[in-house]
Amino acid sequence: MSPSNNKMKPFNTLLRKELGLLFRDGRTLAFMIGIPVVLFILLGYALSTDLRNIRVGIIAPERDAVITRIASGFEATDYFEFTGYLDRPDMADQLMRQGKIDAVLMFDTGFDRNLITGEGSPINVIVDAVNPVKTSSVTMYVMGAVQSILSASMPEGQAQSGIVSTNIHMLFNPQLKGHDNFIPGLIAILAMLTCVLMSAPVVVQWIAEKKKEPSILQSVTPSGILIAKTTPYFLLSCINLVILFLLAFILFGLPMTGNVIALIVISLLYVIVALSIGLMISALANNQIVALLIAGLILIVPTIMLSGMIFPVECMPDTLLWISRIIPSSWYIFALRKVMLQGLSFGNIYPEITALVVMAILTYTIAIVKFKSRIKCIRVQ
Amino acid sequence: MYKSTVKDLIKIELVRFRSGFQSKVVIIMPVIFMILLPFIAKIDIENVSVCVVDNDHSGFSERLAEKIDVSKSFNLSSAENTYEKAMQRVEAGKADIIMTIPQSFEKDIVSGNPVVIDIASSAVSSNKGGQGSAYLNNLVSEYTAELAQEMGVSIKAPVSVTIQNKYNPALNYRIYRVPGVRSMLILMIILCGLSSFLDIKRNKVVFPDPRISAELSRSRRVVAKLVVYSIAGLIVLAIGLVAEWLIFGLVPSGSYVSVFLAALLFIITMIGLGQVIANYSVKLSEAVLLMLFIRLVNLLMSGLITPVSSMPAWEQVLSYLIPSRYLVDIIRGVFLKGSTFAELWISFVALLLLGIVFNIWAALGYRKKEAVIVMNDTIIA
Repeated sequence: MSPSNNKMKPFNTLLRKELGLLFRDGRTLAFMIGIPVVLFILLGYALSTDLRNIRVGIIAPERDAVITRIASGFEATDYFEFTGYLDRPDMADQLMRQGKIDAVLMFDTGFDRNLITGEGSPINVIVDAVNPVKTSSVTMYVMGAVQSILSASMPEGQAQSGIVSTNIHMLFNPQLKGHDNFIPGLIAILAMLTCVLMSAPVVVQWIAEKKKEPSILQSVTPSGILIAKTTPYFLLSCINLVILFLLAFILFGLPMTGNVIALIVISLLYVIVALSIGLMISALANNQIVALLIAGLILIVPTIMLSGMIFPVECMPDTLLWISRIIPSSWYIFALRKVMLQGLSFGNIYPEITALVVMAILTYTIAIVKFKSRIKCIRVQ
Repeated sequence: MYKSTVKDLIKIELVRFRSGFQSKVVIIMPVIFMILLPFIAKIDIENVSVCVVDNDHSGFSERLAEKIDVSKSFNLSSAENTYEKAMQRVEAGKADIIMTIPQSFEKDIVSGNPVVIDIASSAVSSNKGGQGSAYLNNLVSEYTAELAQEMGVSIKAPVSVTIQNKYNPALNYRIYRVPGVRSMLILMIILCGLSSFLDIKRNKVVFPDPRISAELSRSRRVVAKLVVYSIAGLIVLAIGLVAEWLIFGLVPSGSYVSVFLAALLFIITMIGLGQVIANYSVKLSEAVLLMLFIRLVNLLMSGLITPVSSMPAWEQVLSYLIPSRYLVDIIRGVFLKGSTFAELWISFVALLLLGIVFNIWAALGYRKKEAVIVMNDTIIA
């Protein structure tokens, strides 16, 4: 038997033991796979900016034919919900404060008459502008609806004016679906979360175990220990990612236009980076509570806020932009969007691949160096 | 025998709060994020790169390109001869929008023929795509109006629409986000506070005075925790309010009493929830994962980031069970619309009910589980 085989033997024993431990522990498996799946479904549906059921009211001194047509037009579509006619202008304010209405259309007397005589009839639209994102879409939708109802009820040729019109179309995400925008980010966050949580207790656990059976420590190298203990989690994370991607395709109809191999490569890299971040935390933290708190409660907030999952990175000030560059999820999300939505391949995602490789090497090196020094401390004791 | 009073327990909780790792997190994290978040959550877009494909090369088309270059929202990425070349720049991530100016642009405008400008916007980030193209559309219509005026043509629309944006007239995203930040801040305090319940089971080790741990009354411990964490939460909230007033000059249009009352109810609810988690999880990692679950659901399904009305119907029903939904509603209402207690009482009652339910559930679960709970994880302090 060659010496290298001898060296590998304790490693294999350890690996087999760890694999057995994890895959026999049904409860942990259920948690680690179940929670990300449930979260993915809940949040995937929740993170949608598509507007539905905009609640519109109308204030009109006299309900003439055109106004009635506008009201019934609002009732007919999914986008709007017509809440009824309001008697007084101050009712708009009252209903908005109670959060019962989103927009109010105010008409003057003689609206239809002025329309026909060409005198011009003003419409005053009051919008609840507390959420500016929602507001601009609400305004756009309401105006669009009013315009189309009016142009249908007006004599030919009077509806359209202006010399230059624009024809706007969206590339890669034609309906501006919020889902396509959020889902890659959600996958990245959930993968990061589970990976870091799984690998964060590794070192601390090992040091505790080692006191019981010190013999194994002698025969396996420190990196061997870390790798053997994280390999089961690596496999579990891969299973997790496969499930999440399948859900993304089936439930949310995410497109996959690019190179599948590029997607797999970048995903595997990301899992490795996330696991080594967990290992790094594990090697640096004094006890398991601290390790898990760092992993679970602290790390996750900047990941969500700065990764570009929810808030666009390109709008941030420079300092924050640089911070977001050291967050692995932001690179992974970029890469996912490029591959899945834009249909690009390796040629276009090499910056992301390079960044993730550098991060993996860096975090793993810190983890291993720190782990070795801790082992030395224990030996001295 | 010595009987521990609530006062003793409060003292102990206070000592632990001061010495514990999580209490530092409780204070530092919210403050950092409260200051940073308005910058992160900026979504007004600047510097959208526009690639112009000018097929006309006339004075009019060049003036349009110049207008884009001067605008703060855009910068002119490059001028390409063909759409295909411009597309390559978009794929390389160097341009966001392609604007194609048709041949005989100037000639058609002068002779009054309709002209269509083609705007293709990369919607990989749906916010940038949608908003960018809308801005560009505005810019084009401004330019057209300018041209029309120069040529002495007047454009008269039959219906004039005025928009009135209530509560946030300038559609300032930061104003909207800051009250959001506050709810997020309270969320973070409490959710970090949740971790304090993880050591409920190990109280015998942690408690300095053995007489107290021998005579532990469950309800008293809960009361002590509630008192300490409620006060801590309210203090951080007060700091946050002062900072917000100093930095952003934001004061609620409603009353502070409602804000604090809502925060207090929310804290009680979340502490109940934290106890439930601590009761039912066998391992520390499970508890952390479950806490993360609660944290993410509270953060992302509360209407804080995406409107609740955009969610599917089943999820809107589900969101009634999420405490932060009510908190977000109340705080937004009070800060931006000046809603009064009488207008928001349903949310207050709902929050109170959730708090009662979770705390009762926690108390019941504790009694049943007390005997069987084993903390498997080893803690090395």
